[in-house]
Amino acid sequence: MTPLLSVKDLHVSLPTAHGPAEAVRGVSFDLQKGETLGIVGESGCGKSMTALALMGLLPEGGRAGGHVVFQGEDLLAADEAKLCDLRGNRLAMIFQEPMTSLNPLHRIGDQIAEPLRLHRGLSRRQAREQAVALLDRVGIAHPRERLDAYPHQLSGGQRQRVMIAMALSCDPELLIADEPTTALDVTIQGQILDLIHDLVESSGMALILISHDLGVVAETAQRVMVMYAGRIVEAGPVREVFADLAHPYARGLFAAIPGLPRAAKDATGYPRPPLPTIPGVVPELHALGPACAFADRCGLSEPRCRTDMPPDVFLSPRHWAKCWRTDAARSLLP
Amino acid sequence: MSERIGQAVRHRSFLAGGLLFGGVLTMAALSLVWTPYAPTAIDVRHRLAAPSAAHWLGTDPFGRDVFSQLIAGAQNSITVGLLAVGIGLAIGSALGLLAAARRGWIEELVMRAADFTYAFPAVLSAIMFAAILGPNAVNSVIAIAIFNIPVFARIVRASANAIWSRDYILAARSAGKGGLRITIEHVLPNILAIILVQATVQFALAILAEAALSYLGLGTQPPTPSWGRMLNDAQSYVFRAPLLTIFPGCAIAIAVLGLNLLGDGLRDLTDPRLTRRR
Repeated sequence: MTPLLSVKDLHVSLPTAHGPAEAVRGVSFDLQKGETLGIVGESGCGKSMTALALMGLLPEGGRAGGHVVFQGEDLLAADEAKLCDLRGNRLAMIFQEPMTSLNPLHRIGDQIAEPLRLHRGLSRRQAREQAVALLDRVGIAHPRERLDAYPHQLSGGQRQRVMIAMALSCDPELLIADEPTTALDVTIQGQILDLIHDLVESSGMALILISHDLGVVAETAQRVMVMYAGRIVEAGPVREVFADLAHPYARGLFAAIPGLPRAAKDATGYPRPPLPTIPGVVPELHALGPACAFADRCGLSEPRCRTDMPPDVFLSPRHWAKCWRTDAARSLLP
Repeated sequence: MSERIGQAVRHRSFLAGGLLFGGVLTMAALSLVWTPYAPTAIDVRHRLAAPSAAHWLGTDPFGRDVFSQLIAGAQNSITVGLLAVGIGLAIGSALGLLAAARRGWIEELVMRAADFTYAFPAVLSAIMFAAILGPNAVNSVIAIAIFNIPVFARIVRASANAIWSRDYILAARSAGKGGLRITIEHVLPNILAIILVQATVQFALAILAEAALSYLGLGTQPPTPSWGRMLNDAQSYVFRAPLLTIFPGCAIAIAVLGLNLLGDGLRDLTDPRLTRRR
C-alpha cells in the first residue's frame, strides 16, 4: 500500500547568527492513511520544524531538502500556488498557541468559514451553515450564537476548539497538531486530546501529533518517533517502544515524567529521590559533529559514540533505535 | 460604540483638536456657499482698512476682504493637503505592504528608494517640480505627495512586518491563504489605526508645506486665495498693517495645531492599552 505521506531524508536548515544551523538532519518516515504518529522530543529537537517543512511554512530563510511525497506529489518541489491549494484543504495544521492564533479583529465564524469559501467555493451563507456544524462538532455550545463572537470573548480551550474546527473545515487527509495542548490547563488538555482523537477516528484522517508530553503520545498515537537534535533516535509502534525503550535519551525522557501522586517519602519511610533529569543541555545545532549528538549527555557513552554515527538497531521488525549501546540501555532499570 | 464616543469626548487633546480643526473645516465649507465679499473683489478705496463691522478682519493692500480670503484659503489648504496625503498614503502604504509581504530584494529596493526620497527636503523637490512643470496647485500636490510616500511606506512596512510575525498569520497561511489575501484580510485591518494617526499628522505637515510653497510663489497661483500667498502679499506691509500677517499665520497655526492634537488623541484612543487606563 502506498503511504499517504512519505518523508525521505528531510533536512531543514535555518539561518542563525553563526551561519546556517541544521534543525532537521535526515528524517524519514511513512504515514498511512488514518494512522496517528506521535513525535516527541524536547524544545529545539526539530519536531516543529519537521511539521512546518511538511506544510511549506518554514520561517524566513529556512530551507528544506530531501523529499516529502504526499499522495504522489513532492511538496518540497511544489510551487507556492500549489501549496496554497493544499494547505487548509488536504493538509491542515493546529498550533500551540490558541490565544494568539486567531485574528483578534475577525469574528470566529468568518475565520472558520474562510477555508471553505477559499477551497470549496461555498457562498457566504453555505459556509456559515458549515461553520455552525463544525463548531457543534468540536463541542462548542450554542454554535449559532458563538459564530459572531470575537476571539477575545472565548476561553483558551474554546479557542483551541475553534482552531480545530478551522483545520477540519475542508476534511483534510492529514492533520498536523503541533503541541495542541501545551498552552492549556491540564483539565482542558484531556478534553482537547479526546476531541482530536475522536475526530481522527470518525473521519479517517491521518494525524501527526507533536508533543513533548510522552503521556499524550502514548494515549493517542499508534506509532511514535523520538527526536533529538534533528534526528530520529528511536521509532516504532507505541506499545513496543514504551515497553522496551532502547535509546538512552528516550529512557531519560521517560524517567523525567513526574509521577502522581508523589509523596515526599516512599513506603519504607526513606525520602524519595528527586525527579530524575537528563544532565546537560541540548547541543547547539551549528556545532554538531558527525557522531551521536547525545553522547555528551549520555551516561552510557563509549569512545565510539563520539567518533562514529550509530546504526539503526532493530529491536523488532518495526522498532528501532539509533544507538551503539541499546543492549546496555535496555538492561537499565526503568 | 457609544462608549467609544464617550472616551473620545473625555480625551482632552482629541476634543480640543477636533474643535479647532472642526472650526477650520466649517469655515472652508461655509466659504463654498457664502463669503461676506467675493474673496477676489478689489476695492481700492478701502485698502488696508482696519477690522470693522463692514470688514471683520480688515482689508489687504488691494482692498480685498481678509476674512473672505481666509475662509476661502482654508478650502485651498484642505484640498491640497487631503489630495497630497491621500496620494502619498495610497502609494506609500501599497509599497510598504508589498515590502512586508515579499521581503527579500523587493523590501530592500522599496526601503532604499524610500530613504532616497526621504533625504530630499519637500520644498526642494517642490521647487524642482515647479521649475519643470510650472508653478501651480497641482504641482504642489504632487510634490507634497511624493514627500509623503516614503513616510507611509516606512511606517506601514514596519507595522506590517510586526503583524506578519504573529501566530494568526501562520495559522492563516496554514489555511491556504496567499500573500495578497493575508495582506488585505489580516495585515491591513490590524495596522489601519497606525496609518490613520500618521495620516492626521501628515495632513498637518502638508498644510504647512502648502503654505510654504504658496508663500514662495511655487504653489497656488493668484487669484486663488491661499494662506501662504496672503502671508507673502502682507510681507511688504508688515509694519503698516501687521494684522495682515497675523491673521493667515493664526489660521495656519490653528489648522496645524488642531490636526496634531487630533492625531495625538487618535493615537491614544486607538491604543487599547492606553484607553483602558484612562
